[in-house]
Amino acid sequence: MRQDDEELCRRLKAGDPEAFKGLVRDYERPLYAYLCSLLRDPAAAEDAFSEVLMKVWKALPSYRDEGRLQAWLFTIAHRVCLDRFELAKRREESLDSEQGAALRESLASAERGPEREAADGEIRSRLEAAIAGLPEEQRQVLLLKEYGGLTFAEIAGLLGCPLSTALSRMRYAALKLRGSLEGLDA
Amino acid sequence: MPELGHEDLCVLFHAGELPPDEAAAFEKHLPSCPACREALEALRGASQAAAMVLPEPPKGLGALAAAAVLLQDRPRSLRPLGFALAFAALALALYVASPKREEHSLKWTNGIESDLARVETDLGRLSQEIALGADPAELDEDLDGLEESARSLKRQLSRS
Ligand SMILES: [Zn+2]
Repeated sequence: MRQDDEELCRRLKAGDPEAFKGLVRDYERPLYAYLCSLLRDPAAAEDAFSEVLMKVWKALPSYRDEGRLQAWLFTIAHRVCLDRFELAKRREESLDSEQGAALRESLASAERGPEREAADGEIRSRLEAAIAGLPEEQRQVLLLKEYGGLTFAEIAGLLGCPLSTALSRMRYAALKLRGSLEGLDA
Repeated sequence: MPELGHEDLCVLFHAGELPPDEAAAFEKHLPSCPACREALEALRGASQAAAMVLPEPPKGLGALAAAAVLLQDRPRSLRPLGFALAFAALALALYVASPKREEHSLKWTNGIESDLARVETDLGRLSQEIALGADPAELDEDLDGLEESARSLKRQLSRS
């Protein structure tokens, strides 16, 4: 564990509100980027952001100083997302397939929105669609790496898979992205 | 480290996670391996793509969400306020993300931002006072101030 992490942890575990606010400031951007990309929904990401902070605050007193604080934070964020996926899946299953498809379609168009598409341009929306379209396991590794800034050893630990699995998921994600973006002048 | 294939090492090399001697060995391997060259190029492209579409949090999300957590964890009387603030934070986030925002005048936007700054300052002071175990009468006074700021913010938001 890094020294600055150690000092921060000590203050956090003691329930120091300033330390907590500092932690939130430090991780606000990567955490939000991760939640927003994984959930593919800015409104859900904001909601999940608050949920993660609440869980972090509650879990801090029992946090054991193992590994980096950053990896611990993203483990909590990842679990919050998985819970949400599970909930959404159960809701979707309770709709019949036709209704479900209509809902998915309306969610997808609400997410894209015509104004946003025009403002962000063709390249951005194609990139977003390409990342969103990756197989779930590959997307998780890509986002934990690129937005979470975790090491592959940390990612493997978080996902409970061998290091080589995390590495090959990342490589497949990159190759697949390249394939789906071919012909795009970036 | 367990046994890893050259293509796995390629991913670690791109991430800067190989020890210097292994990174040097991998660099020697690269010119003779088309698979690793292709993977490395794809990995660089993926990092660029991810950076280009990095989602930005709405302004004030972290500060307001942190304050809501700190307040919610306090005595019962303060809890409803935590929920109200979480709601205000959400409304604000929606406003910031709203495409209609561009249509509003600069004056209106500045009004919102100064209200937000006031709410944040009030919250900071309050959570400090609570942490220090301040006198309830003093807290009440500051809560009134915060509520007024939050009401003003909500009024502005409801006009959007
Ligand atoms: Zn190779």
